[in-house]
Amino acid sequence: MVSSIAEFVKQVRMEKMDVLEHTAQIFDEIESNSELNHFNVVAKEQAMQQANEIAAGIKIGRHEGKLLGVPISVKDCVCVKGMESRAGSKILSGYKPTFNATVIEKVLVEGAIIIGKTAQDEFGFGTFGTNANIGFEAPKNPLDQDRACGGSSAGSAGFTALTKFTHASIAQSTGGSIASPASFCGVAGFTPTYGLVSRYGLIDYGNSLDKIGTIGKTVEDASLLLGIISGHDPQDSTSLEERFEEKGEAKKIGIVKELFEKSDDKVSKECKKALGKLEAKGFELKEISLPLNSEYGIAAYYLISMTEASTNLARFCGMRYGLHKELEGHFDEYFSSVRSDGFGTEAKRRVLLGTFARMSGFRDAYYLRAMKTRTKLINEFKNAFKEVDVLAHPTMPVIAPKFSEIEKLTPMQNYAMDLCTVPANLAGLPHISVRAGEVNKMPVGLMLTAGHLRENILSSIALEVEGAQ
Amino acid sequence: MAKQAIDKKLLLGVAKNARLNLSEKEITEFLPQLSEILESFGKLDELDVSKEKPSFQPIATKNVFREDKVEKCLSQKDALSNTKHKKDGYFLGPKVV
Amino acid sequence: MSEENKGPGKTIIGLECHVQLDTKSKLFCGCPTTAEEPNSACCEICLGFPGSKPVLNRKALDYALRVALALNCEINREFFFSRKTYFYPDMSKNFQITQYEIPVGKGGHIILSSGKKIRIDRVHIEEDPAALVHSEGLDASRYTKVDYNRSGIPLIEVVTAPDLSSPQEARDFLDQLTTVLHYLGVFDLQNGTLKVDSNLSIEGNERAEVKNITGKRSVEKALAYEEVRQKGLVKKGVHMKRETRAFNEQTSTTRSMRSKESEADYGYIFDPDLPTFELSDSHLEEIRGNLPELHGIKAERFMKQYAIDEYTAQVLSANPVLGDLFEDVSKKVDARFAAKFLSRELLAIINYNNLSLATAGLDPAEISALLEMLLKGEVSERNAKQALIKYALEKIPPAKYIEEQGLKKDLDTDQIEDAVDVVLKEQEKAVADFKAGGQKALNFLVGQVMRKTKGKVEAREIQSILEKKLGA
Ligand SMILES: [Mg+2]
Ligand SMILES: [Zn+2]
Repeated sequence: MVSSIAEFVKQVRMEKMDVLEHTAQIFDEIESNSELNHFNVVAKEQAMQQANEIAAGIKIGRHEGKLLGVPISVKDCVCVKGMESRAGSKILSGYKPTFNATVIEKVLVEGAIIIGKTAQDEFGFGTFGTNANIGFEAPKNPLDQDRACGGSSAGSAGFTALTKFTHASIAQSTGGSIASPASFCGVAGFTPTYGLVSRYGLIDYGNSLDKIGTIGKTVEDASLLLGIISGHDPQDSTSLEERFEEKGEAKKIGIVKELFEKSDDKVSKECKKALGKLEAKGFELKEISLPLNSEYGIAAYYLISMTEASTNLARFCGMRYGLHKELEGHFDEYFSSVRSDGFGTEAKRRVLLGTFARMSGFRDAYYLRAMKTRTKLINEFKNAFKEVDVLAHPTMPVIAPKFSEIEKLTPMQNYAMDLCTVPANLAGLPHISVRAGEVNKMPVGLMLTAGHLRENILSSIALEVEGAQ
Repeated sequence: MAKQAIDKKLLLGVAKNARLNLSEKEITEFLPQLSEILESFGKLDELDVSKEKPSFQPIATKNVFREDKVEKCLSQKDALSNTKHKKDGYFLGPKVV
Repeated sequence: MSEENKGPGKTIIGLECHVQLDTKSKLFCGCPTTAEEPNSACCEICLGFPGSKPVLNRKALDYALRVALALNCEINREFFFSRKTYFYPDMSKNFQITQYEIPVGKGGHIILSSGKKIRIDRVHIEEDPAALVHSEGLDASRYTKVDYNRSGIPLIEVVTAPDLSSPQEARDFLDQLTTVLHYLGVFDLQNGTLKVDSNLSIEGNERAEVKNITGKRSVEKALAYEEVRQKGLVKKGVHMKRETRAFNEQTSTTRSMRSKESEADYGYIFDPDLPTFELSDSHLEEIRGNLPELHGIKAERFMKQYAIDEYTAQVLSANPVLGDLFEDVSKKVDARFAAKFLSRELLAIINYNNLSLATAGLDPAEISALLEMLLKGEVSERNAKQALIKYALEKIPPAKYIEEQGLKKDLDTDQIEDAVDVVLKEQEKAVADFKAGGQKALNFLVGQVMRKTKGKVEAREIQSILEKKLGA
């Protein structure tokens, strides 16, 4: 039984847990599972040095830090100073940030040990972790290696499910990239309110959607880490001044009708079962309809995220960092050549669609229309939260698919798999995916969504779901 | 929304604007995919959004500033540390004429 | 009238002026706006490193609001920033953060010195790209050097309606604009740059845009070249096509740019890394309340208050430091005398020596003291000017300089006459030349006497003594 982060830190403080040994062991585990492709960078040397320093500190009575000696993995798109940070893309080969993301500063202050960068779909462009760019392999689900981890925070969830040691991961979501892999790997994935956690140092996908969040073995671990990394940051103009609510009571849970209907029957059934247990504990269940979000969420989400992404990815051109070629030709030729080699297929697809959606003649019909649709979708949530405290539905409409199944999907069929996760992400609502059961021995995730800054009620209900397992 | 059929000419125009060279194989692969996707996005036409304001952000922050103070910047060495295209303290870029 | 005989139509000009704002730090990061070494004033934000995010410099916004108000614009109370995406090696992110849909100000105007009103469509804020350095020699053909020190310096873009009708008017517009900016304290006349995209067309024809012209003089030259070129073509009946051109400083000519360089679809989107901005009444009123008296109004006041002519009033008010100096000096010295002296002598010294009034640090008390001596006849004009030069260049107070160098006019009439007599005795040849009708010889003799009297005596006084003695 792996001890929770809180318990681990207690043990470390009492010198009952050897940080050096624990760190060394987790690297042995990473190395012996390297064929699962959970890491893009394994930072053993750096981590062992950190562990040494922490161990030395403990000996002289330095016991502060809520993450004292805790191994923390970081999704590749979050910048760690001096550590190659590629967001899973070949075009960022060799990029070693000159600065730490704010979340990294926050965990380092608490005594965390950064063990490496976890694998992801290139720039977050994926639902299954299979859109790995050249030089990377798709991460495998530790529960069944023929199946995907989910994406795009694939390595974060995959390794969290795999490890026998205390560990949590800093993950990131744009349209469901924390919830999806958490669901497929049977771990807890916590996506905060937009702006609760600073995005400073996050390599952008879709800035109006991107959130850094956490993945932990348990709701407790994921919540603890989220509490540490959240907070206002003057370096991020979209960072919220408020913290999440300290307390809050939740009684009414809304069962989102359409998202249950559109999910695989067996998956829906497992989620209903978990909700039934909550009802037995005194929660009130109520059916809620979100017709607009379930019908138009996908289109609005993909248009907005691709449009923003196409501008974010413009900077990658082989000049200041990342993939370089011989400086040849006119700048248009050089930039085009680097970009054509550096981006993977899905990145190209999204850059093309995103560029198209904002070109003159099309931007009103695509980009602006999607932004206006978003207003309608946000309002639908607002109305729903007048009736219930929390919304519940399957995180993913299916269990982790096999790689052979994913291959057969067209890009649009693939996008449609995000149906349950994109609405909350479009509205910047906090949500958590918690293990709620299993189908064919693969985990099923239940997604709980609350109003802005109501992270605490999500934790408390998710704990109940987890406890009932 | 004017339904936009995406043809090869438009695709190449967009690719040029995005500084992407597409191989014949990519063009053949992308054309039907992008058409399917755009057609599906056309679904948004069903909604009347004429009275809606765009939500550029899910939670809008307002009036966020920094003061006009000089802060520490990177050393020239650090600024250039991620590129191999450098000379005499300058970044080197491809030619513009 | 046949088609051929009809001369080409009127010249129509519109300008897009990019002005660097004189802030300490950049628009979206804390890097300084000045630096010695290339790429030494950069951070992850202005270099566009992945993961960095912009935060708006409050002062840059306030400066832009000052400009918009001073240019009589309507202020948009709610605005935001957009991403203008295009690829170029001077772009750190390959998009520029600028304002597209809603600029800070719109619908203003500037009055030219002729009294003509030029409409201003918009005033918006944006970031400056990096500087490209084109090195000479073989290497030049292979790459471009890039210095990101300039990347992210705040700019305002002032866009006029096509109301200007000659290159001279365009120049006058730019003079008026930079004067306003200088008055507002938002633009460094010495080191700040002004970059202009200018559109010129001949009435009834397509326009050509000349991009990226640096400096007012170059704008005038580029437009003069375009005007002649386009009129020539129109006269020949050539169908003008809309195009983008580049200006060559060396030859003062323009050339057509390849379509690749000019053809762009910027694909503007809202910048999702920045918040929206909402101006409160109090914020706007505070900025409005702190606007200085601008030069046009000041010149009118000078004319009335000090009874000076229009030209002198305009010269004195064109520079706020000079205007203030004049008003301070006028408290002690006759205003019309001070106006003349400052607008002619002082300005000549400043311009000749490439000094800036803003940094010269001239103390009105010192200048007043000098002018008082001059008015009382205690020092000659020549020595007063000399003292002023010393003051401007070496900061030696004029009164002190005059004292130390013994330049005070301390000679009585007898002493001057003695000096004249000595010279007349010494310069027999010149005396003879003068008597033979040589006016030049008289000037020479005056000079000789001035030398003897250390320039303490006015030339005209010496001349009249000489003329008397020589019986002229
Ligand atoms: Mg501009
Ligand atoms: Zn900077």
